[in-house]
Amino acid sequence: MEISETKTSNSSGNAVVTSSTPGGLPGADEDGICDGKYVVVERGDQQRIILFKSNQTITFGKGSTQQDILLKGASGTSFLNAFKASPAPPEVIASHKPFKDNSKPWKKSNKARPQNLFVLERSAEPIVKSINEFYQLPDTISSGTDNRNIHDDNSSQAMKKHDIISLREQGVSSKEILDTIITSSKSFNQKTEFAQEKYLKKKEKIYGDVLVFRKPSISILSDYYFKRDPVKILGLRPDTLSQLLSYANIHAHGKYLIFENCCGLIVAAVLNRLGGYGAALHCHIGSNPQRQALVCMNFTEEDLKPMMNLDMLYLLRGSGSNLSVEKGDADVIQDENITTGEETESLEEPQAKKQKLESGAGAESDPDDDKNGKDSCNENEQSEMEEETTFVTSRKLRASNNREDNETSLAFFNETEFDGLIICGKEHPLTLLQRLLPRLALSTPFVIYCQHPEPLMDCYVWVKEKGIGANVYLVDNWFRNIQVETERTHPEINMSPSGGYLLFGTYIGT
Amino acid sequence: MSFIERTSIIKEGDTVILFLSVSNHYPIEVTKYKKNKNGNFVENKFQTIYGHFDVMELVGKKYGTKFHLPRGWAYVLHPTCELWTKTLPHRTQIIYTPDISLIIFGLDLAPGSIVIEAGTGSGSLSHAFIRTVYPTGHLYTFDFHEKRAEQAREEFQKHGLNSWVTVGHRDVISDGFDVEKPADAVFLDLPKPWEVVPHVQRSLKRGGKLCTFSPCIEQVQKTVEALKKSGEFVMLKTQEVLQRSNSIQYRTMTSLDFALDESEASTGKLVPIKKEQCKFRTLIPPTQTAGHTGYITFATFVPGVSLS
Repeated sequence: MEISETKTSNSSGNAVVTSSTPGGLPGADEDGICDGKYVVVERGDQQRIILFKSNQTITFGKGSTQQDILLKGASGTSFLNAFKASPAPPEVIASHKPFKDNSKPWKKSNKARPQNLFVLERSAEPIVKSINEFYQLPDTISSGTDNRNIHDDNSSQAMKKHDIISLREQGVSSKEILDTIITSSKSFNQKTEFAQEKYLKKKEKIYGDVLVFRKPSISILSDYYFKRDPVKILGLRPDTLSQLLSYANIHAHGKYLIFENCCGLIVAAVLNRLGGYGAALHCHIGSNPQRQALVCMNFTEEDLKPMMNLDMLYLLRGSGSNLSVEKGDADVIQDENITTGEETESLEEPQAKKQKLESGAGAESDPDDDKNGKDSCNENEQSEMEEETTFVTSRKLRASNNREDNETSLAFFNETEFDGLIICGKEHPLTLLQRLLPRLALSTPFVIYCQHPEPLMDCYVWVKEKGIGANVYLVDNWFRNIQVETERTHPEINMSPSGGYLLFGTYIGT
Repeated sequence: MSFIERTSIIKEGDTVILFLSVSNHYPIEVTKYKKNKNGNFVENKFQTIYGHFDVMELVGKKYGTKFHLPRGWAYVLHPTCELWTKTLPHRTQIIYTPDISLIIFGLDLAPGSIVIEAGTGSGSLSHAFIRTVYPTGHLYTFDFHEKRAEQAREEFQKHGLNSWVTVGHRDVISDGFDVEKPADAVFLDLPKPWEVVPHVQRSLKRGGKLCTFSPCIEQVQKTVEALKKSGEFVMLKTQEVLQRSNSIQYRTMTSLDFALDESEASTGKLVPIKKEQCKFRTLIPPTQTAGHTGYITFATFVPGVSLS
């Protein structure tokens, strides 16, 4: 219950959640920022995807440069505007009750300090200006031609760490701090223009105070997950996902069969391409399909119409009439899940809900704690992402799949000749392919993604031996970003060496 | 028949992909007559390495089934954008599926999107655009080559896609796009994309995206400079993607056994090194593959309205 303490300090928690349940909000502008909507927040090259709540803060940076930025200023505005974060005035600090995460007392980042509190104000300048010119060098600063006279002896900067901290504590703006740092540096004048720019880019990470809110899209989500937690999405790189959608011939009015446990990213991408027309039957193991990425898309009821879920257990056991005892047991468990889900929907906070969203076993203990322990380098960001991206947006996206839904899905599965099959899971794809491929209509595509080539080779050999696939390929991709700057255009220094493998072909029956 | 709305039986007027092998497949228009080189209509026969056949024999066959040829057989496949890209008649250089996929993905296209494309070229990317924006969006595609625009228009008609595309003959550098609806995305594949930037600014909606495809880095450089100078584009990124198509084969290697033969000590006779055949399945990359296609640049349009 403690987690539910937000700024409004509603200890009952109930009111908090009800007020932030999306859909029912008055004035929920279709294309603007409002409570209950997922938004992408960017500061410099840092990116977050959060569930927007105007009475909460978003944290960038850590230690002395930590900024807890109150989101209120952005509420009700449209996307793609620039906001400036500035130190909160005393009256805001006084009225702000910091968000306390008592469930994780070991997290240092929970120490909210008033000097870290920032407020958002819509930037008066156009977004391009605000983003590109986060800091304008003072006119007095010149630049050098090369680095022959620059020595790395730690003597060039006169400001010490505690000087800067004390400036911050006095509420001095980022711009003024940077001015001080630069003018008190003996070597900054000797740096080349390019080196100065690079230096400022680094400083932007710490002192950047321009925030931009964007609407989540599949390309942003795919990029975001691949950069921050590739393991979660099985190493599926954006370029590979883009091809998966092409080769599976995803389009409106198509009926697709999807096996996925890739955070719901693929189901989300398919739903996005269906635009509310057609069907996407999501097959999964267990009663809780993964939907962490899917919920971030702010899909409407209309968008979600094509989505159906099928627990593979139902597929295995057949329809209700011949269900065995074991099946019954499984059902009881699922029913319990549903009841808990419904009862607690209005009581529980994201943390608790997320557990139900996490598929499979081990959901009892918070799986993220584990994770945070391992990824200590970006512990804060990691856990924030978890909390923020796994909120159930509404009742229509309930975590548990009930028996009735499964029976409907099973009937649909049995009576439909699908227009395409996608397999992308942690499980070896061969048995899945053997089970699902025959459900395709003749001359329709199948696409299997796997991080490793060997399982796909097994599938390839099976398809070839059975003679049920034509036009079968096993491909992988090379993908690179290019830095384009006048006189400094070159491929980016780092690139991803592997984006996984795709096996695709056309089903031609036996 | 339509590329998008799948049917299961081949009818007259359909475009069918005759699939003989991975390296050997053709698009066939199922018509009684076809134009020969001299512009006269003749009976539509199709020649393959397994002999020729009368194209009308395809009518009534089921898509995805075997079709018997005089000296072998082939599969008749329903057309898809990907198969079309692989088999279409080239009137220009074309964009292939890996780039097409990234372009559509990066532009965040979905049903309902309004897309502007210049130039149309051979229509490889256009087909994929239409598939994605169908059934509520629209593609406006332009080419400054009148014949090409005309051929593309005919092709879309034949492929049952004409309700979702408007083909224009127009030089967009001098004349702009003249599309009334604000577009969600503009795609440029022309030699000097930077010269079109002002027209793009007039055509895109706020938050809409621009994508350019250029083979040369100098083109990218100039485009990015023009976009930055305009002051109305953010989130610029340039990417390139190459696909490698691997074959799966068995390979055998000889494994040498370096254990000393025990009989050697007793007999005093030298025993040659024992060899064992070790068979494994592996991925074989192609001997040659595309090393470059084009740079794909994305930008998001946010018109600069100052608050102050």
